[in-house]
Amino acid sequence: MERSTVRIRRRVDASDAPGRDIARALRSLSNADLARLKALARLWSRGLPGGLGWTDILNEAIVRTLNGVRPWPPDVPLLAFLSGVMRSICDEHWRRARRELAWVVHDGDLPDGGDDAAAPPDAERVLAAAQAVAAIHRLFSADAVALKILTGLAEGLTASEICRAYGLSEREYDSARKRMRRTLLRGGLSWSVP
Amino acid sequence: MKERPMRKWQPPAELRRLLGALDAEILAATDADVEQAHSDAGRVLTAAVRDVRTLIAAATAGLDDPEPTIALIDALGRREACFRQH
Repeated sequence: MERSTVRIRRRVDASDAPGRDIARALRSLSNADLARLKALARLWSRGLPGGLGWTDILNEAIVRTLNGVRPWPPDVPLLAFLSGVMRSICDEHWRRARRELAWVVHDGDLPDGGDDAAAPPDAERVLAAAQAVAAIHRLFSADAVALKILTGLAEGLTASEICRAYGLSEREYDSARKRMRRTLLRGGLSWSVP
Repeated sequence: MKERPMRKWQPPAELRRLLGALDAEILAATDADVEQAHSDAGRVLTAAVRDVRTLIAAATAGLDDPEPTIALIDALGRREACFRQH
């Protein structure tokens, strides 16, 4: 029987998982789970400022989980949880980089930023995002259907809306999604922002 | 499909949605997808994830499992075999 730790959840009645339990869960991840974890780490860390790479981000996520800074909640699959932690770590790094730039630009007189995510995007942030979007599209540049799906996903469309908008059959859509998954999972994934 | 006017293009929001969707794709990938992806690339899965396993081993090094790594019955069996050889 196929066993996937992607779907492994902690028991709902369990209290916060102690580090030892988390360590055991991490060590018992299958090779397929580890490949997913690596692909997730690469996804979130692409183009990070300061020369940080996917191993830095994954290590940080694991350490925060083990020491309880980010408690693994009950009934959340381990990989989905770690992905969320990596996402928030990467957000922190981007925020810090923007603050440092603002510090330099405003000569120490920082404007009242408030909620960074809610703040209107500055030119640098827009440029970085545009480059990242372009890098993702480049990753699938040889697959016309995948590119259509990506465009739809970027606009927040559902699967049926994408099929309708681009005249795709359900079968074409499913096959393309499968190809996209394999592309994302393939070892290389050297698609960082140039 | 109708083209969006460029002035309405918001790369940060678009990137957020894209990353969320791709994250879900990776999590939804089956073991067969993972195997296929690596064999397409001419890679052996075990070798491709060795770095992740090493990273996990290093991060969890101080949190040793309290349970014995060798079951007691195995240990006794090994001891017996050892005695028989001498």
